[in-house]
Amino acid sequence: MPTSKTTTSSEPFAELKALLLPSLAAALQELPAAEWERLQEIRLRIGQPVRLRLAAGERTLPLLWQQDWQERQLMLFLHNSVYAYEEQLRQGFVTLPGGHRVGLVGEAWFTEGELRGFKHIASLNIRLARAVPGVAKPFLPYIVGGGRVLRTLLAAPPGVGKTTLLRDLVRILAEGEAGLPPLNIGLADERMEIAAAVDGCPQLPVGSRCDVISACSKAQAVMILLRSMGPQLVVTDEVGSQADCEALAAALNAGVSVLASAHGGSREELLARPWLGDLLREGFFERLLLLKREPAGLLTALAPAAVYDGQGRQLC
Amino acid sequence: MLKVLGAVCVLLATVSGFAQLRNALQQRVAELRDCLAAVRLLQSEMNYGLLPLPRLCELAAGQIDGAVGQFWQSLAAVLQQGEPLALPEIWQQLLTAQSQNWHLLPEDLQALTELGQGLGSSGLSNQQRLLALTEQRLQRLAAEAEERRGRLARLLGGLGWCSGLLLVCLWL
Repeated sequence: MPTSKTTTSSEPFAELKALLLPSLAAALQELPAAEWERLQEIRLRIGQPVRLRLAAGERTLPLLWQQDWQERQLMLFLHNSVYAYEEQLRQGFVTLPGGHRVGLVGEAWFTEGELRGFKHIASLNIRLARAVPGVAKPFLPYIVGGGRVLRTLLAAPPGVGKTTLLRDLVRILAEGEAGLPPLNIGLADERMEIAAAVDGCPQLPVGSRCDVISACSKAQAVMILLRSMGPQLVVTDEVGSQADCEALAAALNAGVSVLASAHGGSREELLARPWLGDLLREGFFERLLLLKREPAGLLTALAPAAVYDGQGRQLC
Repeated sequence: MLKVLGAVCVLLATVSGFAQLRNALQQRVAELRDCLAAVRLLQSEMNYGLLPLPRLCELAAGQIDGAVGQFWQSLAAVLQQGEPLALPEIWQQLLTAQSQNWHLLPEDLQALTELGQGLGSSGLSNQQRLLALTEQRLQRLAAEAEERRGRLARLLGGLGWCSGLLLVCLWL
């Protein structure tokens, strides 16, 4: 089956290309290699041309997306097995081999007042996952201090590269490349974007000492990791809810450090958020890293926009 | 001498013709049982393993022999290639092509066609309902095929000999 556990082809995005409808694959074939490097999203909306989001802006392909293509494309992504992806569909995304994530929306479908998923899928958004080994190295001096990993929150608006950075940090810390002994890391990967596990195997490099819970709420996953895996560091993505913040606090009580990310363009914006803001004010996070990337830059162009300590003092 | 040889040939031809009919009845029962086994395997693996369809087809192909096993093997191969056709189309094309060599009746094939129309296209509870319904239909068809085989097999055996002897008598 196409869910290969590791990337076997040297062609970039080979696993993804193998799952695309011939019409879309042919249209994308025309893209020069340089644009593939900058490609972030492929947006498929019924009745609209296929649009690509690149690091340098947007490109419209001369391919009008048909309604029956949408259904077939989705079924290809699902390996004709809706039942096997029901939980992911309910949450509005599907993770593909290679770690790419397909977001989907359409007409919401409820059963007994509970959202069960979507029917008549109107839009698909294929977000391409990239591992950029080494991208996190310049950030290490900010998050390692006193011979340990400081409790750190990475924040940036969507699309800047938080998840890519988080993934590389996990890899570096798990492999002991940060000037610290290798750490056993518990990774709560609710949206399956960090490790992008397929059949339980991470598709993207997260190091050899990383235990991953996928497709489980962050709060539950963090508690399970703390109870059962004895991690030295807990890592999770896109925290914000009360349950997420309570789980992070539980990690502190267990003497385990935390590395997390959140959406937010500035410290003020984060402070305004109900639960996360409280954690920041209370000094739970010893480091807050705000990230930036040049508008047309590749993920290797990630840099800290500002760094704050636990007392809210700007370090750089 | 030639007449005796001819009589033996006629007798053999009628006996073997009716034996083929009897064999077709037996084969239908066996193929329906294989289909039933495949459906039961899908039910359990889908329910407990949530395995995607290409993997389920592979499992079915590995556990079921003969023509029905070959069908699942072909389906697994096509699905693994990421064929852009919709599953019902793929299913129907394969079923039409491969059922040429099967011994199933149109009502048996109809049950399989309807399974292919819905397989994989909905959530787990709907898939369970579809498979349970198909299982019931196949069970009923298999029981009916078994009863028909029991009723007609001996008759066809006897008819082979009798019609052969009759033709020989008329000829001689």
